[in-house]
Amino acid sequence: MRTKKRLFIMVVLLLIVSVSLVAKGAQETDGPKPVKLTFWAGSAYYNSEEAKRPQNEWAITKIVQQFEAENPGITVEVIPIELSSETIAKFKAAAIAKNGPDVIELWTGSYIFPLKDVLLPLNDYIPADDLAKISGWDAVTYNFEPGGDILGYPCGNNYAGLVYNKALVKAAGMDWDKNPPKTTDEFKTALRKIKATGVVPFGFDGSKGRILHYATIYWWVEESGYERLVTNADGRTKYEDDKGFLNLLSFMRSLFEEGLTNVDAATSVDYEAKFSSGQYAVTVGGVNNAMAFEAALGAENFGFLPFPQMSANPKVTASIIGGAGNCVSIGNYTKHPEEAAKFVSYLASKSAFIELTKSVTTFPARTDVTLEELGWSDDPFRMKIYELSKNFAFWVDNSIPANQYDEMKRFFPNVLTGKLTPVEFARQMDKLVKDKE
Amino acid sequence: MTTKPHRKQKELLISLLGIAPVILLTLAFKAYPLGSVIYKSMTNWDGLFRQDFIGLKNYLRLFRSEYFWKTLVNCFIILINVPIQIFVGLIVSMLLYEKTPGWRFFRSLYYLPQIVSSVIVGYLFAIFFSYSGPVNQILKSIGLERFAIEWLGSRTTAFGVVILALVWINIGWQGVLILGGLSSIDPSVFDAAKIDGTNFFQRTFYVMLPMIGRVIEYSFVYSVAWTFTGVFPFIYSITNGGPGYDTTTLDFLVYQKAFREDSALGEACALAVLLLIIVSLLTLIQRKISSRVNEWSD
Repeated sequence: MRTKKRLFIMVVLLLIVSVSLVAKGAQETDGPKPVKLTFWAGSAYYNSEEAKRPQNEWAITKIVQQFEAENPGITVEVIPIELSSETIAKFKAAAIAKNGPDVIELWTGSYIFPLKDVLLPLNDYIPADDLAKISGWDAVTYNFEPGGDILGYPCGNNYAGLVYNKALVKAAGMDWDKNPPKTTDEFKTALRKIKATGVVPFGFDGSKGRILHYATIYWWVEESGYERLVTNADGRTKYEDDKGFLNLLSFMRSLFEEGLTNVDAATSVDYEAKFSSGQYAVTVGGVNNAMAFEAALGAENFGFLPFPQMSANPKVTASIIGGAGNCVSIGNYTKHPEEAAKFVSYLASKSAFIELTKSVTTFPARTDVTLEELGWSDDPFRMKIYELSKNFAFWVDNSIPANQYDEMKRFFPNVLTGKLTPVEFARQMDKLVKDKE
Repeated sequence: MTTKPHRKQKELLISLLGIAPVILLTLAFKAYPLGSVIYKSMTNWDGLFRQDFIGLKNYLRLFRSEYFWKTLVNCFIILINVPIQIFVGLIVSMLLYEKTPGWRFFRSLYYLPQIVSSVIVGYLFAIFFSYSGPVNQILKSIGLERFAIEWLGSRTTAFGVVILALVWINIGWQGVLILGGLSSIDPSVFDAAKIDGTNFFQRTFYVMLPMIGRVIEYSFVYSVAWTFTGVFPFIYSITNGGPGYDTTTLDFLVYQKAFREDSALGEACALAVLLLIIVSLLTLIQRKISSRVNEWSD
């Protein structure tokens, strides 16, 4: 009885071993193994409206399906994320454990540089055609140094300037389509005229930091130039001696002091809603939120105003701020670097960008896509941005260390309301730089 | 002769084996993370591979910074919420205990805030007290325009809003806790006090309060520790720590240091260790004081 039992167990074991060996052998001889990539996709690849619909209806899903059809054996799982500091912390934890996504959307410049240790340098993977036709490579090149490691493919170009309500500006006796304010002095005079009509001229957003993010920072770069930003940030020069920095803070402070902004400029949480409902005449806006403003005010009442010039001797002569703020990168722990590189290149292809613009509001990071191809040839706002984007100032928050930008965001409302003078704030920034050293 | 010690050893072994899983789990989920945080607080950990040992540099940097001391003071300011919430909870529990008309309905109502997400409560308070929010609208509609201010724009009023939110959300918890303590008191004590002609406040403060000293002590110790470690969602959603660092608390600062794009996780760990030391010290002091008070009242 016992011998029979043993024999039975041995036969079963033998069967299991032989089946496993046959299966393994079959796997090894059946050609290339199927590859599955995971892609953490952020706002450059889907928008909040799409998120309300099933994922298989999103533009990015269609792009992925096309990629899969053209590359048999590779599948891509798209995991939608909200790109934030918390998401980056999650990515870091996953990257250390080597189970992070193969491909991830990140912010460029100073946001992506600290992640260098877990990202795959793409220099050897990028086709020459991509290098030639995609813009914004400097924003993803380590420490902005030419020839350095390229840490991602630029994507999702956003541009920002001032947006205004044409009806409210007209009611103050002005037509900015024909005669826009060209300097900040003219702009201030125009705001005074609007104030006289009983409307809040310039809507500030204390809580979101967009005024700082777009307008303030643009005027700083215009006068001081990028070189000065870098030398301030690493302590070679001082914020306290940076006239561009101090001038712009004084200018913003003067707008608040004179009542040309909303009273709650330092804490407002609803500036977008108030601009959309016609309570503010001017505010800041980028291609990411301008569409919503246009829908609320009507195309005939929505206007876009490039930043008026503040400096008499500008070091940067653009009129909008923006560029490749986002990129797609590959984790250096991926088991499929070739396939992942192929996928990110596909995401940056002309056809993919054209498909994407049906859903996301950002501009393609390519130089060979025309307005006609994007279907924007009869869209005055986009046509204007398209023209202006040929000369833009790059995002400052992507250019300086995150802790310094955080400090600016934190204390800018205090400067606005006069709790801190521009010089005191500049000294505080210098102290932060010194402490970090 | 050898049987008894042998049995004792066996019993000891069995009991040790019995508690071994708990000890192992405690070591894995409490001691290891704690030890790890203490070690990492002495490194320049960036959340990735940089983890050089730098001794006490993180601590020294914190002690030298203005914002650390400011956030510590902020924590002590927010502690004002503790006596207020205990006092309000005391009144509520007494009203429920005395079966004031409608007590069944109010018993559920008072506990409702406790089951709402803290972040939601925080955002509601932020909206209520925004410049164009309902509070200012009401003030304006009743002719009190001069009180319709930017509540979250100055340190004093922003703290007021945060403290109000903390008290509001905790009334239910305090009420239930103190009501539990009250139910352990013999009802004849209150009946006797009523016969003696005491009013509601006399019964609350001269009869009830001395008899639930231990419950109040527990509530106090727990609420103080919670104020140091649990107000993060309120600060995050109501003031985001501003203006400047005016309403930033230590637990919020830990989050900000850790989850910034160029995360200073070593410094965040040092802050977390300091927070642990502060809360432990405060708890010890409170226990000492309350033991003395209870000894006197005994």
